[in-house]
Amino acid sequence: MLPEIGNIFLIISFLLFSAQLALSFKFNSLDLKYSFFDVIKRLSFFSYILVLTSFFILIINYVSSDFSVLNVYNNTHTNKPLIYKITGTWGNHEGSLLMWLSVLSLYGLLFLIFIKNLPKRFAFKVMATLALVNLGFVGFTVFTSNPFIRTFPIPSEGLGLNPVLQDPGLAFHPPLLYLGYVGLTIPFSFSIAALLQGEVTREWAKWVKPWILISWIFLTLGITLGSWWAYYELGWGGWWFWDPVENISLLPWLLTTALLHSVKVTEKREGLKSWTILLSILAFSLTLLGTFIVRSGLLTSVHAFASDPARGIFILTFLVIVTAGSLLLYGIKLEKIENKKNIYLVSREGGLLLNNIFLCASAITILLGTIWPLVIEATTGQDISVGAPYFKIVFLPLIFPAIFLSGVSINLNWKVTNLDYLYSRFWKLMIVFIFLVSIYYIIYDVPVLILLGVAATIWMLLSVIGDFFSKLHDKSKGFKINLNKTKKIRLSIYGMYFAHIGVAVFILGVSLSEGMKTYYQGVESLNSKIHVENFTITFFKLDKFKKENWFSETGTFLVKKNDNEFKMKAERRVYLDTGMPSTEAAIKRNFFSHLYIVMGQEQPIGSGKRIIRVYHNPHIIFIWLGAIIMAFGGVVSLIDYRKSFFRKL
Amino acid sequence: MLLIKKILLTLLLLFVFTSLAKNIELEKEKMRKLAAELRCVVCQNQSLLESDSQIAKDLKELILEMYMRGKSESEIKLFLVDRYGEFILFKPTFSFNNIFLWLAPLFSFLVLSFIASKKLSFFKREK
Amino acid sequence: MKLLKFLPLIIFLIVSIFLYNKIKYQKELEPLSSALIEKKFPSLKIKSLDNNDNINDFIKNKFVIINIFASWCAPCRIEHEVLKSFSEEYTIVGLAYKDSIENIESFLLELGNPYKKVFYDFSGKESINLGLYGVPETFFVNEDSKILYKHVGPINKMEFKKIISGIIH
Repeated sequence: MLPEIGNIFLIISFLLFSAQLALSFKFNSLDLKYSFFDVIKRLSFFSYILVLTSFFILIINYVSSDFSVLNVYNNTHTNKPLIYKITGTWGNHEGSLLMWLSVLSLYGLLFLIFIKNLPKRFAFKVMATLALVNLGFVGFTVFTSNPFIRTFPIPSEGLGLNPVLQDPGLAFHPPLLYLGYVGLTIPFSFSIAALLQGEVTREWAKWVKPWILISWIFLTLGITLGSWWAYYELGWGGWWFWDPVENISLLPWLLTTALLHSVKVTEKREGLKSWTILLSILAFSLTLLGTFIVRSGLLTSVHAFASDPARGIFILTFLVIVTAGSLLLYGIKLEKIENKKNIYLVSREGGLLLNNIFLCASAITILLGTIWPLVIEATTGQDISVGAPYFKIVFLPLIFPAIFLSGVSINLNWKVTNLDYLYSRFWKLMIVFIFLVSIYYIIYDVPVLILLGVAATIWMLLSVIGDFFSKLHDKSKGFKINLNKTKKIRLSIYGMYFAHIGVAVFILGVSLSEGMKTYYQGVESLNSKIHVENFTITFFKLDKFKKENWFSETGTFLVKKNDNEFKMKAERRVYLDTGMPSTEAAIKRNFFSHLYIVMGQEQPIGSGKRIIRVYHNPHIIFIWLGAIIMAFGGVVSLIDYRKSFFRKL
Repeated sequence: MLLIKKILLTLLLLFVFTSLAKNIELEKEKMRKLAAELRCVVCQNQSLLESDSQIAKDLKELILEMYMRGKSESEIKLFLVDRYGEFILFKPTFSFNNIFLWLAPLFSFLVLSFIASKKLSFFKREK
Repeated sequence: MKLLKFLPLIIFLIVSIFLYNKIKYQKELEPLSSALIEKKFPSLKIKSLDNNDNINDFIKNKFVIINIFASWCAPCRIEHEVLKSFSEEYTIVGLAYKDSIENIESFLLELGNPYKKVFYDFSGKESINLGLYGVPETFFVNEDSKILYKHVGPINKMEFKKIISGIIH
C-alpha cells in the first residue's frame, strides 16, 4: 500500500504545481487579491509536503527491504547494515532524483517562511518560477524514473548496492551536494522575478545574497567531501580526476563563487546588475545540465547511472525550455535593468569584475573541454578524449591571475581608490611578499610551479593580513594599531577573510602535493620490500576472511621510516551480494602528508603475487582543510547576513 | 687465452648491464610520464599509469620497450593512435579540429574582457 | 551590439544542439574502436598452432571472421556456442590470446572446435596491433583483407546476424 501512496502523492503534487502555474499565468499579478495570493501560497505549501512525504515513504520501503518495489529490489539487500539501507535510497537514479525533489521542497518551505517580508507581486513571481522548476522535476520523476513501480512475482532477495557506494560517504556527499545545487533554484527564481518586474535593486541583492551563500557553502562542502571520498575509496591516490561529472559539478561552484562577488557589487554599488542576473541563471542552468549529463550517461565517468535515452530527452527538453526561456527574457529585459553608471577600474568593484572574468573564463573553458568530445563526434565522427593533462594546462593560467587579483581587490576601496593611496598600501605588502617568496626559494629550491603556488598562497595571506591591519589603524594616530577596533569589523568581513585564507591553504596543498608526490607500482610477492621516498615498505602478510557482507583480503604492510616502524592494512573486498570488488586503501597520516597503499588483485592468478601501488602525497591534507576553511568563512558571513532574511523588501 | 676471453666477455656484459640498468630507470620515468597522459581503454576514465588492468600492463610494457628501442614520444603516440584511435589520448592533439578547444581559455577571456570593458572606465571619474 | 544581448542564448542553443545530437544518434552498433575499421588487416607475426601458416597468408582472398579467445576467459565459453552455430556458413579463425597449447587443446576438446584454423599469440604483444581491449573480440575481414567490423566482448546470435547483414550492404 505504501508505495502506491507515495506514487499518488507525487502525482497529486504534479497536478497541484500545474494548477498553480496555470493560475499564475491566468491571473495577472497586477490585480492580486489577498485571498488569491494566499491560495497560491497554500497550494505550494501542500505540494511540498506531499513530495517530502513520498520521499520518506521510499526510505521506509528501503529500510523494510520491500522487494515488491522494483527500485528497492534493484538497489539493496537484506544483509546490509541499517545505515546503508537508508543511504541506499539515494544511491541510484530514481531515489536520488526523489531526494533532489525533496531538497527542492525544503528550500520551497524555507522560502515560504520568509515570504511575508517580500512585496506580494515579487513573491508571486518567485513562487511561479519555483512551481515551474518543481513541475519539471516531479514530471521527470513520475514519468521517466518512478521509484514506486512494483515488480511481480515478489523477489525474495535484492540485488545489492554498488560496493563503492557502501560507504559513509554516500550518507553525506549527495545530500550536501544536492543542498548546494538545488539551493541555486532560489537565486534563479529571484532573478527571473526581477527580470519580469524589470528592476534590480540593492534591496533585491541584499535579499538574494544569503540564499546564494547557503548554496555556495553546501556546494563547497559537497564537492570537498566527494573529493575526499574518491581519494580514499577509488584507490587511485588522487583527489581530483577531471572526470566529466566532477567538471560539471565544479562549474556551478565556479559560477556561484563569481556570483557571490558580483552580487556584492550590486548590493553596495548598484553595479553589475545584469551580470549578477546572468550568473544566477547560468549557475542554475549548469546544475540542470549536470543532471542531464549524469542521468543520460552521455559521457564516460565514474558517476555513471544506468543510462536511458528517454530520460535524456525529457531532461534536455526541460533544460532547453527553462534556460532558453530565461536567457531570452534576459536579452529582452537587459536594457531595462542595466545600470548606466560605469565602474572605475581601480576600485573594489573593478577588481571584483576582473576577478569575475577569470573565474567565468575558466568555467567556460572547463565546460568546453568537457563537452568537446561530443562536438568532435558530431562533426567528424571521431572518438576523442579530453582529460586531466588538458585541464591542467588551460586551468592554471586562468586561475593564477584570479587569485592574484582577488588579493589586490581585497585591499581596494569601493567606488574609487586613489592611486597614491594604493601605492602607499601596496609597497609594504610587495616588499614582504618578495622577501618571503625569495626566502622560501632559497631554502627549498623547488620547481617553478610549486614556487608559483606557494607565492600565490603567500600573496593571498598577506593581502588578507594587510587589509585587516589597515582596518585596525587609527587614522589620527599614524601607525598605531588599535585592537579595540577588531570588534568593530563586521562579521561578514571576517567571513570573507576566512574564505580567502581557505583559498590560500587550498592552493598550498594543491601545489605542494601535486609538485612533490611520488608514486610506485609493481607486482610484489610476500616479504618483498618497496622503497618510496624514505619509507621501506615490506609486504608482510595476507589474510583472507569473511566480514559483514563481503569477503575480505587484507594485506598487512610493515612500514619503516628511520627508526619509526608501523603497520598499515590495505583491503580488497569482494561483496557477497553483487560479487563486485572494491579497494580500501591504507592511508597513514603524518602531519599533513599521506602515505597511501593500495593492494590490487593477484596477478597472475594463483601466483600469490599482488599488484601494489604506493603513493606518497605530501601536504595533501591542506587541500581539504582549505576547502573546509572556505566553507567556514561562508558560515561566518551567513551569521551576519541572517538579518536580511527578516528584512522587509 | 680462453680465460682472458671469458674475463673480457664478463666485463663487457657487466658494462652492458650497468649502462642498461641506468638507462632503464630513465626510460621508465619517460614511460610513466607518457602513461599518465593516456587513457586506459577498458576503464572508466582512468589513466594507463594508474590502471591495474591486464591490457594496461601490456601497453605500459610495450611503451617501455619502444622507448628502449629509441623510439620518440610522438612515434609511440602515433603507434597507439593507429591502433586505438585518438580516444586513447587524454591530451588532445594540437590539430585544426581542436583549434577551438585549445584557444578556449584565451578566446573566452577576450570576449568577457571586451564585454566588461564597456562597463569599465580606466580613468578616474570626477566625483 | 544588439546581438550581444542574446549571446548567452545563442551559445546555449549551440551547446544544446550538440547534446541533442549525441542523445538522438547514439549508434546502435557502436564499434568501440573505430581506429582499425576500413583499414587493412595489419601484418602480424602470428603462426598457427601447427606452425605451418602465418595468419596473413591464411586469410588472404577470403571473407573471414577472426575470433580472439582464451581458455581462461569465462565469457568466451558462452560465445563458443554462438561461433559453433555459424562455423558451417562462415570461415571462422581462432586466435588464442595468452594461453598454452595444452589448455587450448583441452578447451576445444571439451567445447568443440568452430575454427578452421587456430593461431596463437601467447605473449599477447602482437594482438596489440589489432587494438585489442581484452578477450573475446571478433573481427570481420573481407576478401581484400580489409577490417569491416570489430566486436568487443562476447557476441550473441542476434548481434552476429545483425553485423553480417550490416556488412553485406
